[in-house]
Amino acid sequence: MTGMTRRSLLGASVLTAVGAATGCSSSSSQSGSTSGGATGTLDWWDHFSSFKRLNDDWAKTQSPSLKTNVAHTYYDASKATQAFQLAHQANKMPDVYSNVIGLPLPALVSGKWVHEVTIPADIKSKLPKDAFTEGITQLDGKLYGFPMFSFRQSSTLVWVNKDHWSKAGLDPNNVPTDYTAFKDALGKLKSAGIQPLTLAIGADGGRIRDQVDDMAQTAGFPGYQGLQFTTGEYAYHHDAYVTVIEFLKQLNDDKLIMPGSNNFGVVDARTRYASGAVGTFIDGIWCAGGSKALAPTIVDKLASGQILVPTSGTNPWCYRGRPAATYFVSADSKNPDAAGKLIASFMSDDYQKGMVEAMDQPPLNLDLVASSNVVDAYKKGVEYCKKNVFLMPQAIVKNPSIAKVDALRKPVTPHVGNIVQGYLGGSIKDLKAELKKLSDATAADRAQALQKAKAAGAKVSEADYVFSDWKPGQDYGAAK
Amino acid sequence: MTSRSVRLKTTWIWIFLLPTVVLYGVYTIYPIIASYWYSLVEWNGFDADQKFVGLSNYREVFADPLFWNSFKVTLFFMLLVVPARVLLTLLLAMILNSPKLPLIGLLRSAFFIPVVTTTAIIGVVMRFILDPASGPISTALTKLGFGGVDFLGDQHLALPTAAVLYVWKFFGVTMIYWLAALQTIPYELYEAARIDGAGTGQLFRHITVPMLKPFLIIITVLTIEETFHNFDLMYTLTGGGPYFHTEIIEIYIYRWAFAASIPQLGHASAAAVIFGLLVAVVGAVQLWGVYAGRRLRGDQR
Repeated sequence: MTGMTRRSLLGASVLTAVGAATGCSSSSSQSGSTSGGATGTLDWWDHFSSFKRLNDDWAKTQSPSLKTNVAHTYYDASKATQAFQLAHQANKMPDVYSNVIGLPLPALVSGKWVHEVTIPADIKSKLPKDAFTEGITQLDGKLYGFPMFSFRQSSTLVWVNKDHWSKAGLDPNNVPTDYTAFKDALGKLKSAGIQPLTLAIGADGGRIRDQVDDMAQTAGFPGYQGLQFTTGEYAYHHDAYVTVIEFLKQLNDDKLIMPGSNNFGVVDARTRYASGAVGTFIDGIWCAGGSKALAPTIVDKLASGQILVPTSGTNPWCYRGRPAATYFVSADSKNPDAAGKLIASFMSDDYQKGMVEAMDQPPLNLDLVASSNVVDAYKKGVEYCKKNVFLMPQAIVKNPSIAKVDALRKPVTPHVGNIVQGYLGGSIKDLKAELKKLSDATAADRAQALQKAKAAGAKVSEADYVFSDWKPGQDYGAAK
Repeated sequence: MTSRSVRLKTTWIWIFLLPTVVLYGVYTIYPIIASYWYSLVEWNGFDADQKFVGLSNYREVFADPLFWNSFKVTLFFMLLVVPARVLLTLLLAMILNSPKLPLIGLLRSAFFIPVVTTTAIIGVVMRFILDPASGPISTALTKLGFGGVDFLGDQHLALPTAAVLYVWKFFGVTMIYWLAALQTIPYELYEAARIDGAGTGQLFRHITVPMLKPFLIIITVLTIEETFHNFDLMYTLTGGGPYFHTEIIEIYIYRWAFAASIPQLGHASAAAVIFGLLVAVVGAVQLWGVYAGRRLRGDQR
């Protein structure tokens, strides 16, 4: 009898391994073919950090009523886009997912990302008429989702640490609103040995870009993100932008901004604020919930102020667009009915209560906040937004075909956030010239997108961006 | 050997090579070919539509000043890092190669620990250590009366700081190359030279350097090639900032492919192809280096 040689042993091992692998793949492909909705699992992905616990619990409570296992997964906002991109290419999209992709609705529909949803009449009646907009939440009359957050919100409120402000002899319940008084207050914090202010200037510069856009509006810029409402032209080099950025430069040069802020992302800066390392932080309305999630003890020290204005007495008016759908149902969902019901359940009183208590973006019905059990600083911020944030005119609302132009737009860099970083750090010497270059580059990008969209048959023009009847301090085209 | 047994042997060779061939094809060859195709289309990665645009993406990349900025940053980073890595590690390897030095094993391991530590973790931890407001280095500098230094947020300091950290992180790899090279020099040569009255400097100049020349070429070329792949450390340390001062080409590609609100995979792929060509040129030099090294070693024998 011949013994087994080394070669035959290796050969047998390879064959065994191949057989095992084949067997594994066979069984996994079988289970794969029956996975997803058919096996009774409804996958739900989102990027709302403040709602993580609420959503985990909600998934458990909804499973019995939807007769399916609801599995909730949280993704960090900065990684969610990439996760969705890969999941879509691999046909592994979750049944329900938050709207973080950044494509306009027509592109999502044509790219087979979204499924039409049907919302029960009782839920629909809870939503304001402005919640449904052709081109944003619906297309050709088909509904693809609804917003859960009010557009009356801000990325640029002033958040202070009560203990630090009191120590510096300042009144945390009366945060200064104009540049001069605010700068003086920061000076007092510095004199008291407290780091005065932090901002999220670093990472991709996205947050400081949003904040400078907001502050430019309260400084008198009659538009949004460089686009003037009445002329439809880009004017980042408008005096309002220059005023805001020069103010930030003054704070930086006077060493009133915490060292390192030039390199901070949002979470870096918020962590410094939540841990008490800094006296003041400019952040969105969601700062209360975000800080609480990082350091629960900060909640009792929170106080807030409105968005800053250049001079005392100026109206702190800001303008925002109509909100898009917060959640979508995937086009590949095996169980779109249950997915639609899950989304509809977010408008239930219980979920809305949990949402308000998480102190993230405010709900559609802002009145829920006043009667809720949240800190006064959050209530104050919401109250400011309710009175001072208005609906702005939007080309996509005037002409839904503009979505085809939006889908062809390309990133323009350096954007305002990058320019702020460069100017504060000394890389940019001529601020106005750099902002003019940004205006020209953005206008050129829109022109190329318009040209391509027209060539593809879209009926669009630059006139779609002009709103000569816009008036400051009013909602534009709000439903009566 | 009969033709049947040759065929059988070849078959077995291919069976054992198959996993490598398949994995290399799927994870290396296919992405390379795909990126060449993507560089010729306009595609956001979300949509199914890929519109063929010819060389348009290449024209846009070449016209983008920030691409040339990232090109410059990548090359400047290489110039900062390579001499430090190659020369300092040689000095350290010579010290650690000394048979009289105590605790050699411990010291060699200590210098190698950063190599096996995950780069992204080093980036995150170093951000805390270098924090200008509360990091230990700035705290110490402040106590000494110098004030906090914004190592990663200052436009002039960010790249050199990243370079120092990179050199520290990969010090152990180059050191191991040198240790291996040093151990190829026969000890008898040093002994004979010492008997002839040669001092330490002369030993280094007349024995060590000539004997290490072939290795110097190979190690330098390898190190140059390695410095082009520094995405994880740079991204976690600075994200390319402040104001693009540390935006190496890999971060530039990532920014266009994933960080844009509507990703531009065509533009990113075109930049990646150009970057790939740069690396290929270095690879060709590397091949030449290996060849030249072998020739030099052959001459020495």
